[in-house]
Amino acid sequence: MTRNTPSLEHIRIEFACEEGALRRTLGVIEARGFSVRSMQMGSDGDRAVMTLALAPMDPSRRIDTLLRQLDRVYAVENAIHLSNDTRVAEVVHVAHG
Amino acid sequence: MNTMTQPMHSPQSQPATRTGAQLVVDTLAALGVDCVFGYPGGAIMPVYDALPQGTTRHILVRHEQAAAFAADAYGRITGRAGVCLATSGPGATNLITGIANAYLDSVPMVAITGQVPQTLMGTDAFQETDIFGMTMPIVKHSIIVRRPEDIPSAMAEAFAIAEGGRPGPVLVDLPKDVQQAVCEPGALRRPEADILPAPTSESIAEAERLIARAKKPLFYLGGGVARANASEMVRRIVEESGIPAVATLQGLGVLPPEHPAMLGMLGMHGHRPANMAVQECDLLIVLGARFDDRATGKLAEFAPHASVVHIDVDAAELGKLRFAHAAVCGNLKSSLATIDFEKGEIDAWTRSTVETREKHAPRYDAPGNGIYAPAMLKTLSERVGDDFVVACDVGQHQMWVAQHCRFSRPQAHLTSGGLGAMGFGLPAAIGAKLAEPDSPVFAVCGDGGFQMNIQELATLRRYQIPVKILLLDNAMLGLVRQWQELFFDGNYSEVDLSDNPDFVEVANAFGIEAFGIERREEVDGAIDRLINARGPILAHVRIDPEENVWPLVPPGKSNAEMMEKRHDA
Repeated sequence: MTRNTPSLEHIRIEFACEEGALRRTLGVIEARGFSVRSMQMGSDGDRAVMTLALAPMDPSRRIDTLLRQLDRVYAVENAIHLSNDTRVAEVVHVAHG
Repeated sequence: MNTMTQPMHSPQSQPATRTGAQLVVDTLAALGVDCVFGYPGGAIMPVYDALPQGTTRHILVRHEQAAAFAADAYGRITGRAGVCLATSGPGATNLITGIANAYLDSVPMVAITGQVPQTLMGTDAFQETDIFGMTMPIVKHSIIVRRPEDIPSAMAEAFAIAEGGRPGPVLVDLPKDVQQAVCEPGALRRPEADILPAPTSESIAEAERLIARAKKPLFYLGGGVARANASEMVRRIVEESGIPAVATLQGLGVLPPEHPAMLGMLGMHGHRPANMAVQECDLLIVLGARFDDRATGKLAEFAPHASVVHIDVDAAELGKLRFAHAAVCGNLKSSLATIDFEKGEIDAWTRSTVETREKHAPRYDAPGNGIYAPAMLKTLSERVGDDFVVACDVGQHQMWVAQHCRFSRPQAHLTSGGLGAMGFGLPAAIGAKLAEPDSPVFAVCGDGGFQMNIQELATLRRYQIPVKILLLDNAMLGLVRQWQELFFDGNYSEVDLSDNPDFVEVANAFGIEAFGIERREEVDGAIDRLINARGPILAHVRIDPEENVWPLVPPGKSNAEMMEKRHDA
């Protein structure tokens, strides 16, 4: 038996380190139909950056809609979709702070 | 968010120090909050200790859920955030249904909760719940205030967020030690309103191009029209353009039902002319609506021939469920003011919609001598006229109110749309009456929903709030019974409420005037008595337990597949 593996979407989120910001951001991602497959995060205490690999829970889930839903979170300053070319560099950058 | 600074008090009246709780009360006054709905308890006691020294009126409800529903209604009708207040733990969790209700219907609300002292947070202390975390998915924003000096600005921010852009609920959680701590009050920094996105010239041009070439355009009016206070502007545009319109549950009242362009409500229990027009149109002009599944039916077959112009203040709604050929993101009023509604040749289309509307007008000639609720509701709303304000519960009566009552404005129709929360009607009517004391406010309730917040009769009694309750009693959970009849082979499971209490006696026990009717010839007298009552009153109306709501689009089906009432039955 073969299973269809959904293609992963990679995004980067910059947000202010307000109380609850991380929980709220991850909550939006899961509640809107994406599961987090990997995540890296760095913070200087005031601002944080994280990159995530996300798997949509069904084909109707669209990453551009999710990005706009993340933009509604008050702590989120920027949420962007990473292209295949940029995502490895982003992950390395974040991992090194 | 930018801020403007103003002193909390005049220099003469300002004490040297204030407690956090006193700052809560001071800030409510400074923000112009005239009324809060709440219930005291341990972790919010410092605020209750300070309340009598403030200028804000407190309405003591008998369950926190009612505080949230009343605040919701206050927010819907005024456009300003309604405020509810509760203690930690069960007080806070009892607010949750009301907060979710406000979130799903985009209603401005500020919910203030007490919390255990900060040193106890995270220790499973008595009456500790993580209300901040529990409500994250159902608030527009939330704040735990950690220092008393931050209270004024945090509350000002909460109100600005709740009321700005697409409105919604904001939670402010106040640990008890923060309420008790003393500080020197600083100036109140009031955030300036968010600068709303301006629609792009490209999206406006595309919208105008689509409107100009459409042969069968149709307005799809949602709750966003009311939230943007844009009803008058939309009415004028509809009249000048001649483009017909349908409305969602939350959009009813933007156009009164007798308006020649108004085809009615679309969706599961929508009017046939509205659903037919949606299926036939070649352009949907969507104003402040979000393609809710109760409105669209089977999404893939919704408006199959239509291009879409979607105008909304919330970018996240554009393209979420249906591709928008012109996605206009911005404040509804300023977006509409920018668009030139120069229509194409649509006369044949408008003629056909008028003919469909006349052909499928609702009938009120139900057989028998029993009370036909749709007819009674229609008569009631027409007798009261433009001032009619109604808050309803959820179920069959809610759909009959939507289908058959006349509203002169969307703010006059208070209904739990997105959440579908039974128990909304009575507390929402209380909130509405306090927001608009001069309007006649009716609570139209079913016997199921009424018993979910029946304790609020005590609130009516205490404050002598002259809400008029029309209780439609079919001794059933009627809408569930209807679905069991139609879609579960008549297997009636747990819908029988024939052991209901005597509601007239119950109301009397609370000190509320009440009477009952069960024959059609009693309807006019009952309406007279309700309208003329000076204080709170309840009319208990027995209706046929087997009456259904029609039309009905079966779940998962296209809006083209409406089931209708058989008049030969």
